[in-house]
Amino acid sequence: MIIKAKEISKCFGDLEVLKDISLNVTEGEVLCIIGPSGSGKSTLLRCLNRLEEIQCGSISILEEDIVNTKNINRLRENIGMVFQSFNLFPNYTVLENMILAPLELKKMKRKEAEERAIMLLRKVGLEDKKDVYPQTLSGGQKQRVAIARALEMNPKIMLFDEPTSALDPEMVEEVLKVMKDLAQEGMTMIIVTHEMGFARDVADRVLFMEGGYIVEEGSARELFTAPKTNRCQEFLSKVLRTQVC
Amino acid sequence: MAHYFQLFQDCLPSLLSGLQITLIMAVSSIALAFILGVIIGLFSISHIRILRAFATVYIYVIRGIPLMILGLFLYFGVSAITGIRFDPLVASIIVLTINASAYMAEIFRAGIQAIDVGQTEAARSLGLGYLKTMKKVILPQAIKIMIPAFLNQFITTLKDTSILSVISVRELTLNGQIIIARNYLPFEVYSYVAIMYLIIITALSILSKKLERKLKYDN
Repeated sequence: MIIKAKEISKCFGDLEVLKDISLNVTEGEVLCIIGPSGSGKSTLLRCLNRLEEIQCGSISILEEDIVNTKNINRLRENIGMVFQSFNLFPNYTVLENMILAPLELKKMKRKEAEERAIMLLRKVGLEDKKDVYPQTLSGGQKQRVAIARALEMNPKIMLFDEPTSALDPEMVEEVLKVMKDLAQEGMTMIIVTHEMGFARDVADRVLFMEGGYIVEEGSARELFTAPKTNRCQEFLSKVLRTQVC
Repeated sequence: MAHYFQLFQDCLPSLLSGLQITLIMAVSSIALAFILGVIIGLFSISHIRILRAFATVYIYVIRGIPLMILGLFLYFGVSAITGIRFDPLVASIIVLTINASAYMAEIFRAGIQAIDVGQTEAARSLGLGYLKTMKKVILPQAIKIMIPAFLNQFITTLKDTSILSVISVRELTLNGQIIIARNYLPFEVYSYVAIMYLIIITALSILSKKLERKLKYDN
């Protein structure tokens, strides 16, 4: 088990947004989390690298307790994260964005970091953009750089928080393709998404969340073709009606 | 007109020595206030509640008291109680520092908080610690936003030095007043004083525009 979360709960003030969630992820697994807005999907993801603190329960990642660890920064090096709003650093070029963390954390020499960055940029199809500033890129390009930046650290796990939700429709595909390739290479991925077609294609397992609970989980095929709970059926019929799959 | 320039030449030595004191006051208090302001500003964004509370109270109190009262209080009030006789120049630097630091703390806090929290989250998720995130990601962006506001405060502090003529610092304004007491030509002498402030502040503005341009990073 590369990720083990046990009975976690999380509150914002009086509002309990995660209720008694348990979750196991094995190495190389691709897990998609779906569900309506406000169901706690993103919060769950953010708890896994401790961008949010949990109130109860335990989370261990790569056999290390992330709730009580003294060295969360070192653990985070192994957990890449991609955000809905890209969060590239506007004061650095694409290449500088990518090599900042590995150089600051002395994980690599500059030459090695740059070579790796260029290799990753080639992989996401943006090698020619290495010296431009992020604000000149399109949304899809920004997100591909953000994925490459996370991969530069050579993480064991990648977390995606609605990576295509802020994109123009015609740019969604290029980002999903990069993620698909990554899944095929065997990366362990947890993806919060509203792209049902994508989830059905790449997910080994799908979680449906609502109201802070995991309402249903199963293989992509089970969950999309024969959802067991009423809530999941309702949700899927609503979103699938608006999405061409 | 010839009289106007003749008088200017006569007054110049005294006015220049006043200007020198004004600049000493301004430069030292701006430098000290900048350091103090950054520290108080860091307190105000700290996760430690007591530091935050301290910063809030400090900023609230200092901004609520006029600079002149602060000066009179320290120079006359505090020395009356404690018996310590402040040098007017030292007292005025202390007062200007305290006053400007409160404003600079607010500039610093606002600049940091203007940066999207996603920047911090992205840096932290890559494994960078708090200090490295601040130094490499947040501050370089925030400082750019802060520069115009800081410069504005520098100019304000420079002009505020004239208020402390009330505690008999021999700066530009007081030296002008002393000359006027002798020759009774307030129109001429105050215009000299005003022009001298204007020249210094213009120089400062040009410098800041240059700095702002230099720090631009978009293409």
